Amino acid sequence: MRGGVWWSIGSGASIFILNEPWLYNGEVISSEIPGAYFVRNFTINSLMNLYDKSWNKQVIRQVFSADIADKILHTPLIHQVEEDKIIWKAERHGRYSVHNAYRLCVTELVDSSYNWRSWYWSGIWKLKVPPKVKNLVWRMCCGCLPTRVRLLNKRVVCPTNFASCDSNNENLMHVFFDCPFAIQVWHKTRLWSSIQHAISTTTSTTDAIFSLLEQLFVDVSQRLTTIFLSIWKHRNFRVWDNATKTSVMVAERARNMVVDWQMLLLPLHQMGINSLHRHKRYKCNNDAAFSSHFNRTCISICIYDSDGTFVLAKTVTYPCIVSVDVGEALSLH
Amino acid sequence: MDFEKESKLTSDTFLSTRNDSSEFGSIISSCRSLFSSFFSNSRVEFVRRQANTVAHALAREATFLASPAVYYDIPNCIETLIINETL
Repeated sequence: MRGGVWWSIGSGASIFILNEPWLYNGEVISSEIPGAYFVRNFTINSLMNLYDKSWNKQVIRQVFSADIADKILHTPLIHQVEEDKIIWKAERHGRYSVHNAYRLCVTELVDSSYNWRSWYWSGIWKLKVPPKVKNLVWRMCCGCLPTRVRLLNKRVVCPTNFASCDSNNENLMHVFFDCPFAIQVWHKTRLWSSIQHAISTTTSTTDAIFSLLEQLFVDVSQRLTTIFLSIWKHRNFRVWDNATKTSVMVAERARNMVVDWQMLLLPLHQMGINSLHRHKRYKCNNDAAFSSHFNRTCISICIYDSDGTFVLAKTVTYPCIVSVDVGEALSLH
Repeated sequence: MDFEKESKLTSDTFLSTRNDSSEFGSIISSCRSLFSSFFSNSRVEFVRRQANTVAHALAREATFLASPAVYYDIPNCIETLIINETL
């Protein structure tokens, strides 16, 4: 728990200098540092200029060693925060939840690198396809799609054959790439040659899928993944409803799914451009930029009138680096 | 006045009524009270990054300036962008 919190600095009057996670990124000044004895009873407001809520550089440089002083001076003091508060750092809104505690544990506190594989996961998530398609591909690549081979492995009682073609080995490779029905679908959609190539150059089904996602154009990958879903659906219909469809229908269903989904996304793309042309109101665009070299956050404000003519621009500089969200919020302020 | 943000999180949080205990939340709630007292005829909305290029370029430029600046004429660094946008 202690590893997951930090202070949001208001007045600083209730935060002790030593052993409290108030530095940037929740770091702590240890009570082991030389000279700690002299600051042990002080709170951090004694390091600030109270009239404008900034760090008192002179005092900080005198009291602390250079590296600690740098860390203090890099810690943002935000004027709008009024009260000293402990916040939960794993979540943007600062409230504690088990979900985030778990995420913090697996990313920071526990070494879970043995669990990671350097596969091209973003190749799945960046596709513009319905979420159920991404979910299916993800399950295929994780190896948690309940094919009969996997179910039998987990001692689930079920038939051993594959519903579509009575093969006795219903695994990923068979359902999606080996079964005559699947091959028919791939031929119909003209993807078979790419798939053959991917299978022949890799050692596992998962590797083949990732290599396809990496090599194909995005729109082709989108077709490919929706066809996966369509084939899996076909398999499920066979198993549960004993319904049969032709390979043409399976290919067609996938094609429609891609088209429908892209139609849905269309209005979103046009949103930003349209709002440029609105009448009789001033418009104010703002943005934030960060420079780690100068240790600065800068905010820009541009005002236009209703015809889009430039009226005024302004820039403001803060002497510290804050997170992107805080920077964007400051620019609105 | 219409305030256009390219940060979806900022504009959404601003428009929602949820309470937020982080630093980000404190700034947003301070923005809300500022708006209700001085900018009652204003609104905040989200725009795509492509529509915010001028503000973006100016902010980048501003990282080289140590102090705040106000421009009544179009500053050099964004002149071409503005001309392109009005065309």
